[in-house]
Amino acid sequence: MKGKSKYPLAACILIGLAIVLPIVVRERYFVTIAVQFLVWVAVAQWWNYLVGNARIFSMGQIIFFGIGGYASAWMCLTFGLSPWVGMVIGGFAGAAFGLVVSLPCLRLRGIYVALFTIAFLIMLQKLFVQQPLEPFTGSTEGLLGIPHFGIGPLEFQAFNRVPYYYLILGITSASFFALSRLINSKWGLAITALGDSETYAKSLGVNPVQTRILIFSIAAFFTGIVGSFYAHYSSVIGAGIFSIEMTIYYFVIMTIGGLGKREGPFLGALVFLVFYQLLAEWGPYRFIVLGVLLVLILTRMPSGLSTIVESAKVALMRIIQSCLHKLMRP
Amino acid sequence: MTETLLVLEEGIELGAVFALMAMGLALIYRTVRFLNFAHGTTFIISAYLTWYLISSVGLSYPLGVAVALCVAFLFGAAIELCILRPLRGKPEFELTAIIATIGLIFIGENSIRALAGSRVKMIPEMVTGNLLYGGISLPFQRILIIVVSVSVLLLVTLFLRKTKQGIAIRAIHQSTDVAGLLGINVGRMYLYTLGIGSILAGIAGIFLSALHTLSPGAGFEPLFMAFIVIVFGGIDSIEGTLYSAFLLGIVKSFAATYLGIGWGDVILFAFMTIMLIFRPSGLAGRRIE
Repeated sequence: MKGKSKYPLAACILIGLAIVLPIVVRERYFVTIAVQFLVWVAVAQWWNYLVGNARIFSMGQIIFFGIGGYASAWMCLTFGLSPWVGMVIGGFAGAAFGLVVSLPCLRLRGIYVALFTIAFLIMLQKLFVQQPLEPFTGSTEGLLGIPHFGIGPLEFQAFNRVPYYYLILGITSASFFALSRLINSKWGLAITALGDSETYAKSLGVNPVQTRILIFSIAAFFTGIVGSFYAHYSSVIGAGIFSIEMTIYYFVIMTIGGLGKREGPFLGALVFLVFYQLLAEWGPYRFIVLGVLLVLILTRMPSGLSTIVESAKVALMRIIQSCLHKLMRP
Repeated sequence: MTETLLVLEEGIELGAVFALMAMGLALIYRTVRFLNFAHGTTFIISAYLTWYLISSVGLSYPLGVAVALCVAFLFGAAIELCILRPLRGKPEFELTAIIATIGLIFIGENSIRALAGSRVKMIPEMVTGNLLYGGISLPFQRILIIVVSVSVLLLVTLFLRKTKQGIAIRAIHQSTDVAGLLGINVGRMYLYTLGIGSILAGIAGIFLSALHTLSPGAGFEPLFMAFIVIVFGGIDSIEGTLYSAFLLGIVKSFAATYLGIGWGDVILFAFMTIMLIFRPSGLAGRRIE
């Protein structure tokens, strides 16, 4: 494990490309799509780690996304804080909720986590439109006019919102590297060990409940930050953010990409983006195709599209090797 | 007093529909060891089919319902054949099966949207007229729903206790391996269980949509209720599921009337959380693990 690179080369190349991209493509539409895509990747990579690697069957990461957004928006609107501070608060609010959610359900078997988190999600959707909570949630209207990010006098809305693109690119990359670090840390290894054999890991002194609660809260923290970004980016937030629809979208993204694979959320989000945005004129049919794809991938190719990438990588290596052989031959 | 009685009646009616939904879910979970997220999809497909057969094709009510329930049975069997069979035996069956059924929700909801449109539909009333008694006016349809639901629940309980197939299904719950050794065709029993569970969801779907309206995403709400009911009642226990369905139905009805519509769900969720914290095995369940 020690010798493995913490920052995979491919990720660095992709991020480099992503930095150059807005200079080449100068359309507002592009920024909208790219921000959406990066938000998906940012949330899905932690979710995917929870479901695919840590065996915590959370169906409610959207909770922390929404809570992060609401917390940050409310703080900024009420106390006039800067969105940058709001984002940190959003992250911690997400983590706090992660802790609250994990306490009743992580002691129990996998199925209860799914049941509890999804029920919690729907409950929040109902709760946040209730009258008594109006000062915090703005009731059915939601919170409007959430301040935009900015540095000094420069508002991020300007320049076709390109600064927003760079901000979410930064958040997504940072959380990617944070996840890489976590996977190689003591806690990440404990999670891997728990996945291989819970009994054996326990005998080595791993505390399963503690480890899972910790991982869950960290994931909630990063999801909360992304949620807060999203709230300031769209400048409105309503109870509709706690959406089942989105939960299903994320499961499609994670499964098509490959559950438990690092590159999965990226590939899945890419495929989903193509269907969601570019094939929009297909109407509901595009989702039917995606649903069928999901079932097929689960039953025939459990590692999803990452299998294809994996075999492409192997093929590429073989070609390079044979080329080198030919060159080296005297 | 009259109002309280009416709210109570609504609670019982809600409880009956919850019970149908949750019993199907619990039956499938106990036997097949998998949480059927597509249960809400079965619910909504049967309801839409009934609407289509009665309103557009012009079948009579009983015939339309019968066809819709047959389709529900086939849908349940298809879940077993197309999704669970290929996944069973592979690692993480419980997880992958759930995700696959999430895919089914996606397919089902969007198929309905593609075929029937997103506009809200109404199933015509099953029976017209009201029961008038002592100042209370109660539609016959609601009485019919309660009576039929309770009889169906009784029938299913009898089926599980008395018939050969029912006993086989319960045997599989106790131990799949031993049941197989005793000559029970486990695969076929899985098919039956999913089919019967789906029929129950289908009946719930038709009843609830006769009372309310139909929209492509309407299957999720009852699924969520059924989740709360089975967790509260004990995921492994049929009796617990029945008690908790009626209890929670009445609680929801009172909370929604006296506190406001949205509070019903919030309070049910609180009930479930308290149960999970203090007695994770539920109302009537045994100790877990």
